[in-house]
Amino acid sequence: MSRANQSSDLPIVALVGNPNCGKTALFNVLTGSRQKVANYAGVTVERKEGYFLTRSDQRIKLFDLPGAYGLEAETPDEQVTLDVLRGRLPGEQRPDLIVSVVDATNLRQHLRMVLGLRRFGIPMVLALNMSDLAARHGLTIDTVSLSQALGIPVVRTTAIHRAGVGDLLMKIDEVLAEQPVTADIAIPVITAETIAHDHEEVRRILSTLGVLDSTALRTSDHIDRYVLHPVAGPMILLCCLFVVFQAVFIGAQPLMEGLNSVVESVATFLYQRLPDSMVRSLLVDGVIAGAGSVLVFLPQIIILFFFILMLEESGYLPRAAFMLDKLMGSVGLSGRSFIPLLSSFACAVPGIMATRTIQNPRDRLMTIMIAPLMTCSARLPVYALIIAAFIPAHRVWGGVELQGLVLLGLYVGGIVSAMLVAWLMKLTAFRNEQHSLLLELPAYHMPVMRNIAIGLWQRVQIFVTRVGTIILSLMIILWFLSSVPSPPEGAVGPAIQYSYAGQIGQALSQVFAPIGFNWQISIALIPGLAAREVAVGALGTVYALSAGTHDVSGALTPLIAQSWSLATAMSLLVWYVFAPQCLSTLAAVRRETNGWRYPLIMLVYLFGMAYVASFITYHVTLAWTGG
Amino acid sequence: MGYWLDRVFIVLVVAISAVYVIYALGSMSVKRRILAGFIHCFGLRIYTLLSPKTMGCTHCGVELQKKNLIRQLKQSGQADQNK
Repeated sequence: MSRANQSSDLPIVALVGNPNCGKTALFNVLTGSRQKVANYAGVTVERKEGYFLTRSDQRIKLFDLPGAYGLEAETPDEQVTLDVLRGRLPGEQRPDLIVSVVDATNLRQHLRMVLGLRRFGIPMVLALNMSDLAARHGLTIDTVSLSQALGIPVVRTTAIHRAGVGDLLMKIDEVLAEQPVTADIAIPVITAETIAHDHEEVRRILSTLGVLDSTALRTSDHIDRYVLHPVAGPMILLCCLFVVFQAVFIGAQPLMEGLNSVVESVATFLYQRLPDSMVRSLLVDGVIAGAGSVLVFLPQIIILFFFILMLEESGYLPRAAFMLDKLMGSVGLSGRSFIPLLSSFACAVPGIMATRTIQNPRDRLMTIMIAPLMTCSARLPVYALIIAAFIPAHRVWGGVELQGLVLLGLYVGGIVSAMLVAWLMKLTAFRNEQHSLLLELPAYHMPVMRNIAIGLWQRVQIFVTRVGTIILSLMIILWFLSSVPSPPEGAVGPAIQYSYAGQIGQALSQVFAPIGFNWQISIALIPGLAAREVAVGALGTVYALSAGTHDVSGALTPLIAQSWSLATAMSLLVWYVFAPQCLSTLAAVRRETNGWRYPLIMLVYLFGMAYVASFITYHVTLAWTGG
Repeated sequence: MGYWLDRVFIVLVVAISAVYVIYALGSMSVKRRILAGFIHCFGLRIYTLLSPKTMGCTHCGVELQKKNLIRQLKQSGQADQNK
């Protein structure tokens, strides 16, 4: 009898287990995929699929399911896992085989899930993952005894080092060939009795394996004495953040200069070789000045994500969540909000999706509403441009880079404002009791350079793809709107002033004049709605057409330093801390909240905050500088 | 002649960019219509040649939906060709 699913050609295998047991790492190894892997729970919130070949060249469809602590489906992501196992996900067949992934260093917790999965009656293989870490902790697990106790095959794996994968593929082949197809699966009913029975069964199995009383203090526990210390812990966290933002400015400088000179050379080459025409203007003033101005910030993005990925991989981030739980609780946020908010530092869209791990609907909504206040990577080019133009590259307090300090201040500003908004929401619309945080602290391990490299490569791909697609397209349209119609006979001033974009910018500048924005900035804000970093490219194009220079990617920083006052620059920085300059985020909120109500509320409150904060900043800075 | 070629080229580039911006910022139904329109005009082979691998933010639901959408369109296009 074929193992193939009745309505599909390929057998389906599902990776199931507790959060942070290495399912996605195993998925990547089996399928050759590059899904995100991190050393904390809740990275996978949707089921992902891929394909692989077994040792007998059988093609298999593989599902990577969100981690679940049990089969009670208390959160939306756990519900996805349960629905797939029950075969109730629309358009999906139930799996033919489960690969139950467990963390070998934490069998007491993970085996309960295995016992629950066994009740479905679906053939199963146990992947005893992180076996290397268990061995290092002195845990010797007899796989034969474990297999006999559970009644399923057990394979030792270390997914991040690709160890044991061959054995796993062999076992999958064997089980798919041997075990008969069951037409109907059991739908287990979870009661207090079954949970108590499972706890007892886990104790019995661990006792049989002789690992029940393994209470030796691990290396992680030693490290946690300092990292989670009430005084030293927050200091270490602050130091980590400080080092990251210093490195973003100090480390990126030579690389940025190199990239800048390449962009300038291309612009000069095209300017000199092409005849004076609209095509030359499109390439030099639109494409190079626009997209090139954004591209030069790639080194800063790489350095920022290198540090974030290192912290993720090492297992430090859940500790940071643990330390911040009290603070988050005091403003009405759930401790579970930490990971979604942390994801929002890369991009608010995955952050908003990661709120699916939050059980309480009010907590989830509150986290969604403040996620855009976390400083996403798209803001970095805008911040870096303005900081480089207006903040001197001085060292203060014995060698601290001032520019890096201002950048850290902007990130902290985003966090503080998010906490304030959460606190206001708690007092008004989202009154709710505080929920306790149950968070699994994974063992520390040395970051795996392959995962870091994959993570960085993905960020580079995302950034370069955005520059080459949406940013480039918007720059071409902006160039067009900035170039037509031609100025009238006898016109004085740059041609862009008479163009469609110039007219729109001048109309908008009436609205933005009270917060210090000129018509060039007002133009840049419109394409900036598609993606925040587009504003930098838009400024590049607008100033290239205004100034008639061809190397604006390199000259944009001195150009804005000459054209803007300090008050305008500070006002724009503050605008970008708050303004909802990203349509994708609003679309994600609409999808996650099933309606337009919350995206509209978010749009209004964020624009309101941005305008008020910029107004205050502009006028305070004007008064301070005597402008 | 060069003047008009210049103008035609610019109009083409701007038009393609405008369609791409609508595609990138549009809802899934807008994306579906644009992709279906492209496959209808140029055929599935040209589309498959030009379509980049879905990548980017792997947690992003939009990316996942787009991937599913492209797969569906490819399947339906294949079905049309097989008829």
